[in-house]
Amino acid sequence: MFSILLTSSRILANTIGMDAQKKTVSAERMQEEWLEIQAAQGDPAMFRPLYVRYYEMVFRFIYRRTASEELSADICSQVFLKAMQRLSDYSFKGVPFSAWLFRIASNEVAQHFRQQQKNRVLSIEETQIGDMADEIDEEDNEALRAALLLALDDLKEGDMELIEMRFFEQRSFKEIADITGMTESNAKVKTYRILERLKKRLST
Amino acid sequence: MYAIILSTMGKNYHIKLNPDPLSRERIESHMDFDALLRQYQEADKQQVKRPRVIKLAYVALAAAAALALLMIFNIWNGASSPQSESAYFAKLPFVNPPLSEWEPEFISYKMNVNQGGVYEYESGSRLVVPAAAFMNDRGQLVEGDVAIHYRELHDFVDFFLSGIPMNYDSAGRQFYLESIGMVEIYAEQNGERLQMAPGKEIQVELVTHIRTTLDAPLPHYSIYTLDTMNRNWAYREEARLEVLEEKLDAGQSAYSDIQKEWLESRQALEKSYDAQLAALEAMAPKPIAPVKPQRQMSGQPTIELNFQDENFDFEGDNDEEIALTRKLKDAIWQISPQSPPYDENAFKVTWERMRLKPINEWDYTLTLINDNRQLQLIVNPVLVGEAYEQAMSQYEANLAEYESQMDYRESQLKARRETLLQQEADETRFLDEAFTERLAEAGAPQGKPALLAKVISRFKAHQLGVWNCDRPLPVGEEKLNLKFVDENGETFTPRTAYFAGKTHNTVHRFLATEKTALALPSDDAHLIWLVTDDNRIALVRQSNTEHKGRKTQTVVMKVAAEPLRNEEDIRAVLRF
Repeated sequence: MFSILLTSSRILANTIGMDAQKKTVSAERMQEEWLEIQAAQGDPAMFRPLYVRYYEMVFRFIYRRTASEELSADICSQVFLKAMQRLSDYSFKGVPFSAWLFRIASNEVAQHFRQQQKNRVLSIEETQIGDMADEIDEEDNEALRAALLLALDDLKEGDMELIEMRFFEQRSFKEIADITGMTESNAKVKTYRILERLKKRLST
Repeated sequence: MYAIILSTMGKNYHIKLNPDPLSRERIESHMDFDALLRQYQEADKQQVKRPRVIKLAYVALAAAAALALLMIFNIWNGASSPQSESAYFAKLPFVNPPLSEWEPEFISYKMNVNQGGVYEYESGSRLVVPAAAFMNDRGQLVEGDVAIHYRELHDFVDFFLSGIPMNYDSAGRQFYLESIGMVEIYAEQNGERLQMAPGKEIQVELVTHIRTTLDAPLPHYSIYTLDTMNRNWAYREEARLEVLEEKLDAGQSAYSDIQKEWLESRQALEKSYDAQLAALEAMAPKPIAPVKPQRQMSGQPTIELNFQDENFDFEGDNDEEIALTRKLKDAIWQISPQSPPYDENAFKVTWERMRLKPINEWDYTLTLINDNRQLQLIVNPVLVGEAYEQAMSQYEANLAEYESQMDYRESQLKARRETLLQQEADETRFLDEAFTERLAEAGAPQGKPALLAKVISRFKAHQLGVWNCDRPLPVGEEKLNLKFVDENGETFTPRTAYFAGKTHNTVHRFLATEKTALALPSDDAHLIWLVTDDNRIALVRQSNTEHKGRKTQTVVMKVAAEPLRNEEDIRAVLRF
């Protein structure tokens, strides 16, 4: 219990540092972007600046989940096509436009792997798995990393998304909340619970 | 650095450790908004119309009501609807020359792509273009003659006429780029635009000028490229500037003669000590550093080259070939990740000749030749297994020897070098004191002479386009509300307008409307101008514009009486 509390406080400390450095979208910028979105709602050709701005970001998001350049390009096209088709229903709720695109991308990736009946890809840098091992145990070693990979493989898709965005994509809880549609505190609590479960699993 | 791919197939996820990173260029190659738009329009046509029409009619009614309310509100307030600046510029071409007739011209060079070339510009700038540097849209290396088009832009009038935006968005924060010069390069063959081949770079030596004072450290500048896809600038690297010459800045006072003498005395002193220091270093030549052997990268294909084969040509000097043959007798040749794309079937073909040409210590161009075709690859010598271990042991021994020789050399030279440097510092101080006194006696203001330094900025351009040597200046927080009118009090229809400050070499473009929120540099005299429908410049010169809170200030712009005839006319209008 004590160890989990320490882990939690360390994650909170990281979160504060990370938010300060991360690209945050200012309210002014979001308002300005909302004007662009409104223009695109009236004329689809005006979607171009939004497409250019977010293409790479969305592509990378998909690529991490497919590890295939061609497949990522296909899914990315689908994501932007769906975004254009649903744009008339989009309304500004104080959440960055990118979060809406990531949500579509996440659904498209999940749909693809469901249809193909294949396991989706989880991309991890070795250093990140080390960082995560640090978060849940003081002694990082090869055996722990291997066990952690096995434990991660048992996570449900929803739980995996949280862990993935938090630890392997270094997103803030605010950003995770925007993408998943849950509240920021809910995202935090859920993440801690998943970490707790992983830790229990590793100790058995 | 490269990724080692480890892959684990779990029961629920396919876990990939250290996935291959994808470059931005690679991702951008998949972008095609026009295709997406066509797809959207096709899909839209196929949708069932009826329910949509009803919905649209309902929405249209609501929108019409909202529009009517908005119009009533605007008439009541006597103001037009503010137009979003970003939406306005999004509709315009990103690079948008305002007076295309006087856009800064390109100079063109014809180059045989198999040979490369060195090109000098009138400013003293130089381009070094390697052989086999260009490919077409299909990723194929081109052969024969290509045309290289080049221009330089140096001051705010050049930037204005080129239509290249100097605004820079860094993670949502707005800046202007204050430039000391930029270059634009593109290449064509038979009217088709070309791209740089992977792994190829044009060495650019941009000669330009900066204002400084004697002994002041050079300001820091960076190299940015214009990213027309993302409609922004992209940071590349810190600029490496070297001063070529310094002279007194023009427009000096009556004390210019003393300042000029001061500068010349300092330059003579520096030259004399530089020669003494060079002579000292030459007394003990530096040993040659050993080159670290490289191991084969995981997954990169390799080929073997036989240096003894009579059909093998080495395009370097003979000594280099002998050294290479000795050094790399156990090496195999790895096809570089930077190599141009190739068809793997090429290795099933019999090649009659091979040519190897060094690019640097690590990269070589390998050309495989037969009667019908040529294949060009970039290859690197690498070692595997025991040969690598042996070479590393040898390298470590050579490195230790090299370091010991360097330490000995330093022990021999250090004391004498420090003495020389101390003498130079003392003589410089005496000289400065003498000239400071002379200036004081003449009643001149204190301070070291202002200089115009001719500098060279060296960088390697791995892509064609615009390369800028500059530094970002933050856009001020405090904005003025301005209304632009002509001398008759008539407002201009919304259009692109510009401002430039006297002390910062940049130009900022903005949307001038009936109510324009604009942050002007506070410490500067500045020009604000726009181009009228009949291609005249309407201009206002201002200094330290007073803030009047939220109140809108009317700015009267004077429209030039004479039509513009050439670039000189434009420069005459846009003078501070």
